Amino acid sequence: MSHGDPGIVSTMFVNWATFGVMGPGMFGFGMFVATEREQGLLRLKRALPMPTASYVLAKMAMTMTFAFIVMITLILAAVFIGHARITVGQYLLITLLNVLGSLSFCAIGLFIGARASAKSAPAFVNLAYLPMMHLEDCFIHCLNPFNLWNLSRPPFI
Amino acid sequence: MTAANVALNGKLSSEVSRQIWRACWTEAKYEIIRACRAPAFAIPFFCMPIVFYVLLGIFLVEA
Repeated sequence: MSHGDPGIVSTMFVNWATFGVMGPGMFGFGMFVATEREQGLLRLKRALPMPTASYVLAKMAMTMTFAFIVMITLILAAVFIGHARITVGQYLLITLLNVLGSLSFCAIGLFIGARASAKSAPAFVNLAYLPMMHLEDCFIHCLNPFNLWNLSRPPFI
Repeated sequence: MTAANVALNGKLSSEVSRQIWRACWTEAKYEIIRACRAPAFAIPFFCMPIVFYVLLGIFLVEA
């Protein structure tokens, strides 16, 4: 992927942006839901005169807010430090895709948080989070797994 | 059903939907504030991507 390719900064931007939006969804749902379930907060919320969906919607809004802030910081770094060759429209499109895409990680986090205990939830979330982090092509090349030479070196070299 | 009843029902349903939206909005607002106030959650997820990107994606590539 790299080796003299000037677009590597842009590629790494997309990789790390995806990495950045993964965490809030998976950990926010996985750990918080498991903790609140064990503390009995979900039972309390069932007794409150509020819509049931507002609990999940609030966590989704939190995830999207965090994803948006992460994207803003990364865009600032890409523009002012990395001088990435990405247009404004592409930045907006990547931001939109990543902010909306962070909701899919909420589903994974909710699945773990609804089943694991509060103590084991971070471990289970990490079990899903770390392999996906490597599959994002941040550390090793996974886009072309048949190329063994590519697999042997990280994309930033 | 008279016209007055229809108008009253419409007003009540709009008031209920407004209260539902307000409950959702309040819940979301305080969920965001709570997550931001948890340093073990907020600091890694705000800092890790930019640190990794700047170190690995920018400086190491340029080096």
